[in-house]
Amino acid sequence: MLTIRDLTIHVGNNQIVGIDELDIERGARLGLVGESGSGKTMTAMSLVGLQHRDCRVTGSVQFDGRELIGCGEKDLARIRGSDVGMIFQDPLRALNPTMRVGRQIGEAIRLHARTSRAQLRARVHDLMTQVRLPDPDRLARCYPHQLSGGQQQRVLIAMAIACDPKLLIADEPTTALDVTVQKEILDLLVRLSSEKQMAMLFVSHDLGVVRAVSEQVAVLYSGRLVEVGPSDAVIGDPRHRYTEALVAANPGLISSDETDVLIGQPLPTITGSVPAPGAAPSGCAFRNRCAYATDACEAVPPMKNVDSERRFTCWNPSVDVKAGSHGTR
Amino acid sequence: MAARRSRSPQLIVGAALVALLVLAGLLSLVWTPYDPAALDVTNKMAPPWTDGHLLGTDQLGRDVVAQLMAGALNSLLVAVLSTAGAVVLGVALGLTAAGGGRFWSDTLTRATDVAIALPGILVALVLATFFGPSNTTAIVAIVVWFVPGAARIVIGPARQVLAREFVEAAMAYGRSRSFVLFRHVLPNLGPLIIVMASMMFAGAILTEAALSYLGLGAQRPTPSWGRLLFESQSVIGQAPSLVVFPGVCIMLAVLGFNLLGDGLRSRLDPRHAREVVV
Amino acid sequence: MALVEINALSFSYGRAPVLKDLSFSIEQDSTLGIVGESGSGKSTLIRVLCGLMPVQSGIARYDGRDISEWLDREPRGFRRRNQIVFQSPASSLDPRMRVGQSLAEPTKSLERRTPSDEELGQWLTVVGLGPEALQRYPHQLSGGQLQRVAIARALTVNPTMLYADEPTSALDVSIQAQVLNLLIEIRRRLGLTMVIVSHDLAVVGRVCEQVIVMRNGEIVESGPTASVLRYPEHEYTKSLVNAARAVSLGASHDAADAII
Repeated sequence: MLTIRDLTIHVGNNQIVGIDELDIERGARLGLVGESGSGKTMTAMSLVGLQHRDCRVTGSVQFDGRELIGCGEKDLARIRGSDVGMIFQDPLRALNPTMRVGRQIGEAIRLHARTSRAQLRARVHDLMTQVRLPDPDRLARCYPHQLSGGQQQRVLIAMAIACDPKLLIADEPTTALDVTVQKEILDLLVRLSSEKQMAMLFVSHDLGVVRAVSEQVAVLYSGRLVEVGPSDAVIGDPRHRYTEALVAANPGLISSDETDVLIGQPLPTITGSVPAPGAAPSGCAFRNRCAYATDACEAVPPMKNVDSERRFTCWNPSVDVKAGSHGTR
Repeated sequence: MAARRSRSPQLIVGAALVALLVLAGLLSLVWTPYDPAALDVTNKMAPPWTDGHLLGTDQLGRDVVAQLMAGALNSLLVAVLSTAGAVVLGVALGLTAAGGGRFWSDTLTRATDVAIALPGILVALVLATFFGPSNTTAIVAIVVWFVPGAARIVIGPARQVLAREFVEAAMAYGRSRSFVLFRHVLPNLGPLIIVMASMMFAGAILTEAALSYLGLGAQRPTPSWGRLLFESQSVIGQAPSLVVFPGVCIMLAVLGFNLLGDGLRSRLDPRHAREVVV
Repeated sequence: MALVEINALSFSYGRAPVLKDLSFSIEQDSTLGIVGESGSGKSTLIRVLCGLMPVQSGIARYDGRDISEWLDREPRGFRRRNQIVFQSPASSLDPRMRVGQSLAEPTKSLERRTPSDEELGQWLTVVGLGPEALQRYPHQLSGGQLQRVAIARALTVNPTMLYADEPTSALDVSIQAQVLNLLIEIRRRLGLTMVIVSHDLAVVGRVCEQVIVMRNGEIVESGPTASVLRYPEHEYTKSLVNAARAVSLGASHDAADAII
């Protein structure tokens, strides 16, 4: 349904993003993972023409058979409002502080459909129930700042799904939230996506969060895809050395039997940080931080297919030690 | 982006106008084409380019260029002193209001709100009645008029700086509130204060002209643009240029400082200076 | 020996109670994690303990001495022993000061002397940066580097106790691991007692031996981290652990699948 081909984003003379190929099927959920500076947010924004004015976007993004790159602002605005919904990291900033919550959701509905007042009210109530906001009638009369962070994010989700979009773009929607609220919001997104057959592009720096919501994951480093595939497979058995390092650096070993052994033990880390735009090394952009880099890495690694669903670009991929372990699950 | 930083046309035009004004004013200390007070009785209300009077003479035969140059000096003097006074007092007040205890903070914030609502021109009139019209009166009036505004501009940003974590860290290593205000908050407000000062400077020039036009500012023989305007308005029919020239001077000076302020704003504001797009 | 002892400590902003009747102690040379969600009072608690907020009621002792009294009589001595690191790397350093100036501040303020560049450079080395960073301005450094500088600044006065308020929650996962490792390492190397406030159980589970779970200004559960995380007793702790497990990579796949 969403087909990205040879998408590049330039700022000045620096190429920030270069994605050869990425697809999202109807109703599927894809997680886009990367560190700050990897270009993940810029990629998500540029899909619907919301890139910064200094960015130059080329290539092809087809949505439901329609080309979005080079599409007029008017058409893009219509697509954003009706076929693509969006939610962001900071819900309070995305909401109008002077307008009651119910009216804001109503506005989102009215953008695409003319409805009577009574219908509108019923629809707002319905949407608020769908996103599990308690006591919709009372909350609808509140201003955004009177709601908790989780409730604000639910309001934003309600607005995003008001017109039954075919794709929801979620940019770090839970980063600012507490863990228990984060779980509720992730649950909600997954449920809405399945019920409504709504595809989702979920952008995050946290592999754990991405795996909790999406079946597919695409790992972005310095603006390039380094590994794409089913989340469990990619995280359980990463091939690209960068993915491997990202997985290892995640401290999330909650309540496993090893906890008492692991306390106070250093975590594996990735040294250094993401290169600044234009400062990435030639060939494999990760090679200056990679413990396994060899001379071969000075050349751009080709995309290799593991199977029909998985591919990665690494000259020295991690050995497939866990081969077959997925079959037992 | 580097190009955008250094070549702001506003900044260049503003700085050029201000430089012209300052040069003319300073030059008048050592040289003017004629003595600004000297009367050339044979050449009253001479049009421009008459007998070496570049912009002509006024109704008493005084050289217009000389008077404008001396007027520039007076305007600058009043503007420098009043802006400096207003900025120092306003920033001090604003910092106290932002960083003081709850009581001071509330009291001072309300007080500045009230003071802003007072019509400044009335304050000036009252002062002039008490102390008699003079440059000093004009300066005091402008300071009193501008201080609450300056404080108001500073309070919000100062509170924002105070809310940042390096302020808490400074408290944790034992720095006092006043140290934090002067060594952390003040430097961080530097760009804001510079921009504010240049805008105020423009306001001060305009206000000085208005006050001396009303007869509340500099008295004879000190030349002043505002008084030149006032004196020449009775002969506007015979010699319109006598009204036009001081008017243009005031306008250019105000424009110069406003452009300079705008230019400095976009140059010093980190949001403009370092636009990060990644 | 207990380094910090808290008895019936309460705190409120105006009428709103933030800390309700807390009692616990922190052992010397231990690492304590304080876990809770926004509004639980965890940040206020450590601010009271490190002297940024007053002890309103109850007793708080540090090394056997009453904290408020100590702060009144000898504030510098207290502050030198208790330092704190904050959440946001972007705002924890004055943007108008070079790193070297920021690093020198605690020593100037608490020891009344100006430290040499050599001394400051050594602290930067301790946190994994080179002395050349002394000349940099904060905007020239990355988030992880800024957090290292903030940690170095706290260390310059050789504190006994280091508080950290969400030290990694503004950082990417990859950088978070670097900073956590740094905290683990300096703790071991310098023999610090450390208190880490975090909403992230995984972080606490990796660094802290003891944990306190807070909710609405009260302690709902406390104990050794391993057992609290593995066998949570209070319902609230259970929900925290479940929520964290759902987005955890190391946990069993069944736990992660449960959410989908």
